[in-house]
Amino acid sequence: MQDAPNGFLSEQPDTGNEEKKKTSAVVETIQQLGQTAVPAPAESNIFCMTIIGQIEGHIVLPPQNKTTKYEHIIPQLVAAEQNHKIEGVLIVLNTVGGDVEAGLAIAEMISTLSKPTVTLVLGGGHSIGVPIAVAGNKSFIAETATMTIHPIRMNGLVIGVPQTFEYLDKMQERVTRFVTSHSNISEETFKELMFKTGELTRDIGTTIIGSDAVKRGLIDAVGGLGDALKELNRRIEEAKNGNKEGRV
Amino acid sequence: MILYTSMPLEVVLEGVNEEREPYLEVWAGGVKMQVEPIAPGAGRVVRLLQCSLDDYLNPSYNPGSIIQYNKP
Repeated sequence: MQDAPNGFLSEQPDTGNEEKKKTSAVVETIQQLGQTAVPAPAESNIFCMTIIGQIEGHIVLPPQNKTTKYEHIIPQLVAAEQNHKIEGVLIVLNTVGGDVEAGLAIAEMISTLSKPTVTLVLGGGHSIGVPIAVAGNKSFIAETATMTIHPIRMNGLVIGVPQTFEYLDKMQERVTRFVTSHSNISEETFKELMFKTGELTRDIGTTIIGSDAVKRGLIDAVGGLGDALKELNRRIEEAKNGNKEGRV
Repeated sequence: MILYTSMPLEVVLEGVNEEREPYLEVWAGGVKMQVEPIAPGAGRVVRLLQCSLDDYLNPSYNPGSIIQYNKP
């Protein structure tokens, strides 16, 4: 480049392709992350799964919804269960609910993982988020987080026959049974919260906040990220020690 | 399908009948996936169709992330 005739000098000094790539990578991180240094990816033994927005099931929701797609979450859980490097799963929830089948499928998958699982409700864990929130080995809720418990509503064509009610009642029962068998809340309390009137403006049901959820036995403890990770690491250690003892 | 959500249904389902660009099935990095085209050669991942199990743990293949692919 130095030998190039006058007027044809490249504006940028030629420092080789490698260097260019490096600078463009730096520029990219500045543009995307607002900082130059990205922390080096260290191998983590914890897999963090976030369940946000609407839980999308059999129907693709319009694009204004932020969705968690169950067809991705389910194989992710299978991969986490199979992967030897992953020793525990942290599930972070901030969801407004969604498809019953998809939500229950995720909840069942989480509850049957053999690796330690800890769930953390941040912001909100409403409707079908409730069974997911209680599916882990231990559940945490942030002090300000809320959970809305309300009855399932029918959408689509409703045929005005008694069977419709029975069907809806059965669907309701699936959620109730999962929640009561995976948390310390009694069926009576859960149903009482679900059918309470005068709490929600447009619906029947209840919104419970942080410590309230713990008081009623729905969630195990009030806590944040630190508490959840500490508990998960404790459980991972416990599982490791248990395995060692089992082998001897 | 039963939607069990605390959000009003009319908000969730707004625009459900609107036309959207058809999804494409493409190969990228050895993974067959369904993408929503956003520009020639670039698309937003909708779902993975054919891949190894560990590809599901790869954050760059998460639904919603943007990938480059060779035009089919």
